[in-house]
Amino acid sequence: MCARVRVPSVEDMTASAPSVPGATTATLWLLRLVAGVQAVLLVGQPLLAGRFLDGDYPSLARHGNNGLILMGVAWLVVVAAVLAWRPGRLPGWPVPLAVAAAFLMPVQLGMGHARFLAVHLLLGVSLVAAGVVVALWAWSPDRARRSYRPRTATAQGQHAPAQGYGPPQGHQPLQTHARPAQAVPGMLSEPYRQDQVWYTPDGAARLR
Amino acid sequence: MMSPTRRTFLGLSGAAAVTAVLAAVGSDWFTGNGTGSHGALLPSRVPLPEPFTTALPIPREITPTDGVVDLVARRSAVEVLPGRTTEILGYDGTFPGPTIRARAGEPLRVRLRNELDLDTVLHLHGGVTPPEHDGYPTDVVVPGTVRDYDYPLGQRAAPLWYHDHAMDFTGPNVYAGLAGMALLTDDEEEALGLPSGERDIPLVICDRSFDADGAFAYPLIDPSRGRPGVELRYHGGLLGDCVLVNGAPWPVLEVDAARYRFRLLNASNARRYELALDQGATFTQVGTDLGLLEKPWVRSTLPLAGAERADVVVDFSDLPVGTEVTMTNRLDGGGPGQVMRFRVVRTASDDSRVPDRLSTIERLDPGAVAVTRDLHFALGPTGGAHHGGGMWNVNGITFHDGDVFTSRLGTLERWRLTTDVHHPIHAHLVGFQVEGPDGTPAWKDTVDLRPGDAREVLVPIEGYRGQYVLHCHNLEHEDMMMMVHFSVA
Repeated sequence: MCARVRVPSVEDMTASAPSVPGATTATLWLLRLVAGVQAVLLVGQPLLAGRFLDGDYPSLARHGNNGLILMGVAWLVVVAAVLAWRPGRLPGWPVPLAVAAAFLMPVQLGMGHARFLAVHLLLGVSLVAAGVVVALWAWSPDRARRSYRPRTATAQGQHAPAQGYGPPQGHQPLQTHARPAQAVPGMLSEPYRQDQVWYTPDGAARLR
Repeated sequence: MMSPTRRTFLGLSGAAAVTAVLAAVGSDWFTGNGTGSHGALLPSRVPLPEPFTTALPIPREITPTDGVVDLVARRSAVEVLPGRTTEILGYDGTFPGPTIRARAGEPLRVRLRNELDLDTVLHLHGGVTPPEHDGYPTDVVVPGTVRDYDYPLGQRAAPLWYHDHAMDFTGPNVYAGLAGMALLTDDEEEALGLPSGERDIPLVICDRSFDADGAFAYPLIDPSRGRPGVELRYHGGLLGDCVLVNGAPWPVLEVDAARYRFRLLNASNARRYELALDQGATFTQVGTDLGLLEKPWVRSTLPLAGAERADVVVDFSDLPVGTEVTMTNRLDGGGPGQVMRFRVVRTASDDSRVPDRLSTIERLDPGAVAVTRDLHFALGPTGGAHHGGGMWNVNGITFHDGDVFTSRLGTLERWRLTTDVHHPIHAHLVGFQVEGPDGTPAWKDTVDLRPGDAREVLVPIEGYRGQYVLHCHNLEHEDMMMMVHFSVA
């Protein structure tokens, strides 16, 4: 885990924001939406190119138009990735990936229109892979739970419970399900897994 | 860490979503346009007839008189769809034009009178012809004039065809009807005992779409012909939804319970077919574009790209009277998936035969190849064509860029052909030796390349010195510059 750098303005934002998870889920869902749309459009690109090669001539124009749309959508993903990082408190690695994709997208369109197919195919495979990885990462069910993880309160990279959020002091978990890893084939990295339900100060039950 | 159940759930949801998408759009979506051809379908704007209701027309046959055949290119109104008239451009006013029957080795003069209001060019496809008579695209016969085309025909017996080859407008002209068959025979072929006379029938197969008034629909970008080309949507090729055989929609032919010889020609602008027969009937292919195979080739399906021919025998003799044999196109469904039907109506005597040995083809020695040439057929950069699309090209050059190469008469060349999409490749003057059935050699003048395909053909440079063209026989590709020059020196 990289050491977190304190960015005062962002910390101020999160500090002044209501300490309910709504702010983080909003940015996560924004990222899920735009990254999902981008992934669908990206996966459509090889399909459309393949349809052109298989004989459907109009698919070539659709492939080009789809690329134009992707040029715009890629920047929306950049914005969403930044917001999911700060204030959203999700890891920041999708940001450089999304920025790189957004800058490469016009290059990709140029290569395609100029029929520099060797570069176009390589770039295309890379862009689709990157876009799909970000979307799958954003959509993984784990992501929602992580976004409720206590905010970093110090610049030393230590996690501390956010005020009023997390296991209430002196309370026992409502339910605890402990399962030995040996009971589930294929589960290797965690010897035990605990699914716990906590009460948050606003009274909602949260899965942790 | 996701639990296995979550991962399984995700996987299942993904698979379900993909399945739903597949079901929603149909599997055709993932197999190009589901036609096996490159292009776009232009739907007809009139109701099309029930298949297998009109009788198959047999084009009139003409033989040379003192070595001369007269053809008149003119407009005429014919009944293609029942109860409607369609204006065509036709040789002698018919579509297809009359079938020319000539003998290989005997010079033939075709005297073409142009009674159209547009320039035309006559090309004998598959003919070994001097350049000045080959139908060079800009060597036009202007309206109101007569032009003699002299064909030495120093070649094998073969099912050739003739069609318009006018610069930039071959697609619309052939679509309007300027095409017909020219069957060359010789002593070797006549001695085989293949079905002949009324049982030797040309089948000119093409697809057409119709306007609301019953006219052939062709999406010229400029109907006044001020500039060439079709609307961008059809830049990859025009696909019609009505299959015509000898100019009739999905016709039916009444046949004797006997062997028939059919000279199949795909005269479509862009559509490819994979022909098949039902009722257990098969094609016994006896010849290709440029003449007889060495031995018969029994095939259940027969692929045929634009300009390709297949000389086949179909045996109806084992079928009871009343049997209906349908010829379908396995590359497409619906209307374009149907071609025609044969109805066995009577028993009859039949003294024809298909010998085990048809011909002898000298196998070319690959070691004697003097030059190997790479020819790549692809769509050029965006913006090259008038409507902003790419220009179809060969090795990045087009008709206006001079010779793509110069060959030396009397040498053997190997051409390595590669493609981006479907391209049936045709060269004037020369033939291609390809692998036929069981590794035997066969002669072609048009080879069908599929998307991302590569084919090697051996090309003996024989015939005449001069400048010729080689091009893609998807006529929309050809008109939009996928035609280049080569010279024989």
